[in-house]
Amino acid sequence: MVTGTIQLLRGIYPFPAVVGQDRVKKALLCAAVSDDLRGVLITGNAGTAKSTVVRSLRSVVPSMQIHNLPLNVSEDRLIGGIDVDHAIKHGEKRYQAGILKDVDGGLLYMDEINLFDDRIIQRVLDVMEEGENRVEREGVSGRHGCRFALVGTMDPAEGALSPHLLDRFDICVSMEQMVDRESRLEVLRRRLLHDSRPQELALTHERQMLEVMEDVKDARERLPYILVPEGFYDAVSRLTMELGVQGHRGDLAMIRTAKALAALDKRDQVCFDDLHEAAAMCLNHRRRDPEEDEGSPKSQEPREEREPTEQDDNQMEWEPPSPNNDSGAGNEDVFSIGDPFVVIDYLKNVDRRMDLGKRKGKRGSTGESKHPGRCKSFRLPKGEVTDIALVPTLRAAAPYQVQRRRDDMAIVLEKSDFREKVRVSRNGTTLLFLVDASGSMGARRRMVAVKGAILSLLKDAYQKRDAVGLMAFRRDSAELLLPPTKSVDLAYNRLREMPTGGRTPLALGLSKAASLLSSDRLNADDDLVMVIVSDGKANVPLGEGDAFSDAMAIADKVSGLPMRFVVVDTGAGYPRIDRAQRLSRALGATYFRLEDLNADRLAHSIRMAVHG
Amino acid sequence: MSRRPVYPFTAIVGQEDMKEVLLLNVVNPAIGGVLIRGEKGTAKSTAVRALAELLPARDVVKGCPFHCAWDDHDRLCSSCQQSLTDGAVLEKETVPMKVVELPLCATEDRVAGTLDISHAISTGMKKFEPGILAEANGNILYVDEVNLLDDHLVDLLLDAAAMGVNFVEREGVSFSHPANFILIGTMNPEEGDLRPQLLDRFGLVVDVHGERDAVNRVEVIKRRIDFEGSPDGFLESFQEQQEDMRACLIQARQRMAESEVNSEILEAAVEISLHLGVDGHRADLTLVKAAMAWAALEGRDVAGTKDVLKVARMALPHRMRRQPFEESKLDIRELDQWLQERFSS
Repeated sequence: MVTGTIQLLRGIYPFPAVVGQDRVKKALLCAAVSDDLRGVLITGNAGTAKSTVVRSLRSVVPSMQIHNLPLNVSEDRLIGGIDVDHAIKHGEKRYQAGILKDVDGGLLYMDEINLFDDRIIQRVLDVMEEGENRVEREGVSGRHGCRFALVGTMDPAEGALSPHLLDRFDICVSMEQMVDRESRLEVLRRRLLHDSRPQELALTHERQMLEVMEDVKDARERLPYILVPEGFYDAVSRLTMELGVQGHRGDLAMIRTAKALAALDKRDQVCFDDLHEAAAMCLNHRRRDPEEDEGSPKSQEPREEREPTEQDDNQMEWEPPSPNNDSGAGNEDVFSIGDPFVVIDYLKNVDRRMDLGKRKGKRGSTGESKHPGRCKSFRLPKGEVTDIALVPTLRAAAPYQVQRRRDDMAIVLEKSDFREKVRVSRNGTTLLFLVDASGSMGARRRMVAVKGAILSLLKDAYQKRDAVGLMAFRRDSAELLLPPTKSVDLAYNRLREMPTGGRTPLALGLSKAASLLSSDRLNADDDLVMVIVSDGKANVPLGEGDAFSDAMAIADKVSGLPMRFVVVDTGAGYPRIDRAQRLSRALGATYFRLEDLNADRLAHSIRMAVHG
Repeated sequence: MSRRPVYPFTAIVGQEDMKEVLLLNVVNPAIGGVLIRGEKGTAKSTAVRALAELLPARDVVKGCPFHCAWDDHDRLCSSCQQSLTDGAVLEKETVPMKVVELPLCATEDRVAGTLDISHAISTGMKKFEPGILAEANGNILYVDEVNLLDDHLVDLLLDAAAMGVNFVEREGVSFSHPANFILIGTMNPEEGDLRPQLLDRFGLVVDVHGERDAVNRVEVIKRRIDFEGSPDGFLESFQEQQEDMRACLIQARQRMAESEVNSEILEAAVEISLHLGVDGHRADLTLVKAAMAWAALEGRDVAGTKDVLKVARMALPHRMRRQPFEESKLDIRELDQWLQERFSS
């Protein structure tokens, strides 16, 4: 027994040797105990031992195979497809199972789950919920039972999972930060020992490993007989309702987790502490109430209070926050950046992962342009095949080889076999923020909120890997603060330093921004978006005429350019001046009020409207 | 076929930080690579390519396409593993360690490996064709302008770097093979950032600047011209220095292998990480490993606090607790001052 244990542990970190992280460990054990628990998500910053703890589970649940799903997995390997070898030899179509078949009965581990293609995550979650993998593709159908525990880990800084995917994880826990000296030292000591003499570390934790192993085995046997006191169901649903949890997955997850916890604690009945702990594991990622979230949202409230309702929105009427200011249009302030928030999907009317082939004027290109994009899937070709997907083509041809075989060719392809690649570009968006930095934006520290919003948009752009540029217009010029770049740090610094003050040369800003986006220096394949952040109150004409008419004239002209426009109306108060809205119409832009970009707040207000 | 001459490492003028960081990685590959940040024309690529000449030889399994390490049975590829289980004896072959380049324009299938199409067409059988990650196993993987690498290639690197194994599950191929490599990347920060996950995978980071000393600048140019004028003569004039450096590295590796972690450096590492509020544990680990390598390089058997201090500015700048858009740059001067106060007693 003893040697057997050690043998298994080659290269695997002993589970009990992970310092701290009790909640994460509990969550993993629950998943190992209960087959009904579906999906554990672990979040944490880089280097906090997320993957180490997941992989270490094997040391205490040796029967549980851990399958690592690589980021580059393709759909046919995940769910299965046609058995090519068999097709060639026998001329028959037969289903060949994919990774999910091997995973059956084990644990599927998706490291950096937020970086996977959405379709893959969706597919995995679907199969997990069904307990069965059903495949219809490449002319074959197949199905097999497929029960597994799913564990995903992610660094939230790299982008979030969408709420509907998040909701399908029963448990979501985060790695705790290690700030005390002793535990950090211990982490370091054990890790170094593991690197140099793994057996020694395993030996020192052998007794604990055996204990946990026993606990899991015992809990699995105990689980079917765990009682849940009647009143607890009621308590659970009341709690989830209070927290604004939608749907019933949260309730179910809580009950299942509580049962697993009770079983692990060698009890036959769920107690209050189990519920308490289960709530912390199962509900955090489900509640949508911004106020309830940890961290910043509280600070949003006072900011709103700082903006009193405005009777008349006059651009000259702004209070200089710094004392050494002389009056007049020459005033200049550098406002701080307001609190960022989660941005709604404001570009959603165009698929970010747009088919390159569908681009205007790009049809018929061989896909051998400088940025060919990644091959996402394949399809039957329309017209002439130029970008052939070789492997799918071979797979399609495979079943007919027995009949077609002639001459000395090993494989005979016919026209009907050809498949072409569907390419996607994930890096293909360039956003230029055209920001009104005139004095009117300084009114009542409006700029603080505006900068907060821009920062949020920048964050969003970063997570989606868009390139961003920043141009500000004020006084009588439009200045390019940052040419389109992927460096968000630079963008942040420029935004922070951006001064506010002076008049509003909107027309000039528009034309300069448009000509920048049309210049050849930008990658021609990119999807171009101009985000105009302004209240639309132009007061510097191009020549002698009216400033706003000038702006509208320019808007009309640039609206035909191959780019998209988003207008973020920063005007506040009531009645709202409709200039930004008119500008937006002239540009054919998507229009948002600054406040409406805040996903949390929007969700909140909609919920209030629905629930009354 | 004559090999293109490589500018000798020891002939690089100045850039001591960069040279030290590269050598540390040779002494202890477990440090986990290095990211070199700096403007163009600061000898970044030259240094990395020159490093290849100094790399030690290593024992690999003969004929293995993944160059499995001959003496590390835990990390064999499946076919070597199979031969071992079948009772065969793995044959040893000594090859020099090398620098494998990952070009920016590489495609996913070339990096991770793919179906061997010619084999599939001529025989109708599936076979795995190894890619760059297979080539890099046991070697140095060099990515010039790593911040411009396409996302899906970064994903591949992350996967491989995290596990030391390259899993390929695509287009009908299911294969995995060991992919342990020292990752060396260069970047010009003005052209964009590196994703935090990838950044964290680099053990050390170093910022390089153009040589500012006039005398040195002249020397840089002179040597370059000499080298281009008569590569062979130039190489010969540095022969001895190169030999010395190689010998020094071999000794340091030996010393490193025999040295033990002591609590002095552990405590110093943790102290520094805590003071700076570094989140993950990779910083602590790298500090310890790099400090030991530095001591070994300097010919000492026991590493101490001052070695940790020495490597702190290489191991920490990219690991400060920071989300994108958060300002928290490592203030080297503040750190130096704090370190001095803290550890002077």
